[in-house]
Amino acid sequence: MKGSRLAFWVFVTPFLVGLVVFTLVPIVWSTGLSFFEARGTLTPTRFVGLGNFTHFLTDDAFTNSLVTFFVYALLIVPVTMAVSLGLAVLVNGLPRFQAFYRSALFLPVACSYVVGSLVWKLALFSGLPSGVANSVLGAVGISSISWLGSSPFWWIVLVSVRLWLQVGFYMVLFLAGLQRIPPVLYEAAMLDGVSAGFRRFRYITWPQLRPTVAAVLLLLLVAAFQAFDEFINLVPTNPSTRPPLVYLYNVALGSQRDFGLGSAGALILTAIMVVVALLQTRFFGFGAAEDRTKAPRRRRGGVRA
Amino acid sequence: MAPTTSSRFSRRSLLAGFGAGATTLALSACGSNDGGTGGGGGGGGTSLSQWYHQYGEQGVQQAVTDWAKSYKPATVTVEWTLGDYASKLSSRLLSGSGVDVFENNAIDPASARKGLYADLSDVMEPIKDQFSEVALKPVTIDGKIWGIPMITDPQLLWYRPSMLQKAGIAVPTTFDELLQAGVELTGGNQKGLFFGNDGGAGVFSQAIAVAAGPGFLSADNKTVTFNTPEVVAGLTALQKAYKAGAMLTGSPTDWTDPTSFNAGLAAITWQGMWALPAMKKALGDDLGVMAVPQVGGSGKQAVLVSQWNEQVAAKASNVDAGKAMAKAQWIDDADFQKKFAVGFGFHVPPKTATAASTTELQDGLAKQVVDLTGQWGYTAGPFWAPAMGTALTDAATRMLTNGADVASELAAAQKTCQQTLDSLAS
Repeated sequence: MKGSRLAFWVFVTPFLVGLVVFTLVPIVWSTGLSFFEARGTLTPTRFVGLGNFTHFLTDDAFTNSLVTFFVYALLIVPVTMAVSLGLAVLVNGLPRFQAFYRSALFLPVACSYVVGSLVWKLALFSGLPSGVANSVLGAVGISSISWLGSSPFWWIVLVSVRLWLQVGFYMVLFLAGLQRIPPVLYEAAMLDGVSAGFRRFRYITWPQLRPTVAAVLLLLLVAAFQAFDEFINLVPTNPSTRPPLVYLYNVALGSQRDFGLGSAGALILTAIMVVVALLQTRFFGFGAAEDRTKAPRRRRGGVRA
Repeated sequence: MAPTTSSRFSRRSLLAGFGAGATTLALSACGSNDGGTGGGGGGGGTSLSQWYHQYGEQGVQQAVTDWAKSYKPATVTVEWTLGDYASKLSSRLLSGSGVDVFENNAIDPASARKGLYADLSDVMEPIKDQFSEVALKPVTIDGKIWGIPMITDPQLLWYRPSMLQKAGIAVPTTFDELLQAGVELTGGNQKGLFFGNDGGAGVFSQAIAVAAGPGFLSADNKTVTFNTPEVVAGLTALQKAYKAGAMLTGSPTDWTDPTSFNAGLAAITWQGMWALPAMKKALGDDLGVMAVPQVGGSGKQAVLVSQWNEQVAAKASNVDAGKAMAKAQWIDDADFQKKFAVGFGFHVPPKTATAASTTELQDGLAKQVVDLTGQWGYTAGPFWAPAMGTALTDAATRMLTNGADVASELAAAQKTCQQTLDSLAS
């Protein structure tokens, strides 16, 4: 017993120390700092109460960054959902080479967002006539577009780069979801006359994928809220495409280095994400999938009793 | 055979040993040095860590390392910092370890007042008349001097005379002529103006505020001054030129890199003097330079000046040794200052006498830039905080890309900047 206790502490201590030093202490310290002025220093200098928090509510730049998030989420979430699900259904239906296509489509997930952004900026969506997208437009007689300098074209660049980078990951999640649907359901549907096509997807596949859809939706929302790399690389100074984390980075870690304000902002953004996650759970039931399948049994049991 | 208690304990001990070893390694890695590139000298027991950001020019790192090595009173380790220099430097200054002497292009009042910088007034006061007023402004806060100016980087307008000549356009002498020339020089794959991929929202909107007269802040650094009818008129003209498609945007490189200009993608560009060698090499004599023309009746021509400065950390391991070294390098050693300024990249030594005796700056375009800078050079100073620059750039971006109303955007930006400035005073 003594030996196992020693081993327990030896293995747990490094992680515990890491958790305390790099997670718990910063959270507590940051929460404390959010009530103080702390410019260029991590030491609280002047108590400002809720001043840092009220600053965000009156700061147009912050509210604009939330608008940017909502616009971005409205674009990236459904597009990624639809494309990754579509690819998963296609790959799942392949009679051969499924592993090859699965790997090929998953490969961009391993690519850095910075590298992806550079490829999009320098090659695909360069504002010059020689850029790939502008060359295609030029071939059909359309003049060049400054993709990153004009609305709404910058959204095409921002959404497509993230789509390319993350669609493989969500495709794999959907594939896993598809492969756990019991074949007997499809066989039963076939006997009832629903053999293939959209009706089979509508009445069998989609309802069975509900837990996966709920999980993917939450993950996509969180990822959209945390979007940073492509924005800072593609549109670093545009206020119309500045998401909350880029705004917060400028305040706290960028040139402004206002750690009091930044800490308050971090808490506000965390609170927003917690609320979003709770709402999502409430309406889409993330994590309640198994419970849902059990719920009718409980009800039936109640009737029997 | 079932393992005995002692053999289980022995295996656990072994694993525990590995665990403890890994922990020790991980913790020691956290505190490791990250990129020191040299040192040496006698030192007499005094060790100093000197920080530089990553200069793009070939040979700078070796030169500063050798220079540090030749400093005998202390053993100097040069930290050549890749990536986000400002953030890394800020973290080290806050932690109070690992940096003794460092360069900085954004000395800020908050850090000075929080005691992160050593006061260099005793070093600078006796010789401060050797520097221009523009060079001293970024290092002076609350009447104290916190840094030694290292290099000055003038930014202004450069043009291709051949392109103007081909279009039958004279070199612009007024602001309206400049923007009109931009429109007329646009055609095919060539744009008239390149003020950055943001259309000039970042740097050129600031140049307009200076060329229209008021600059950013009042002389006492208490009032934001850029919201005037002249600045509104200048930005409205810029917005019109942007709408007319005269600006190069979406270039693979931004204005700080002359590649797009050298490739003939724009006829007139905003550029720093650092790019002069590359532009001369690519374009030969097909290159001209000018200050930003005056905007409105009460304005004046403008050359924006940025600067790197040598500082000493207040929490340096040995502040006096750090100050002595900073003085020896950046005040006393004029030969290396010249070499540093023009031997690798192309900058102006901030000490007037040193600049005047630097051969490479005595003729041609380089001399023109030095003269224009002496006459029209402007720097906002340390009280023009990054948050203010962001507010003005945001407003100008909305004017250009969204067609937002210039007057109301400028008024809102001034309000935001004034709030920030007021908060700095507290």
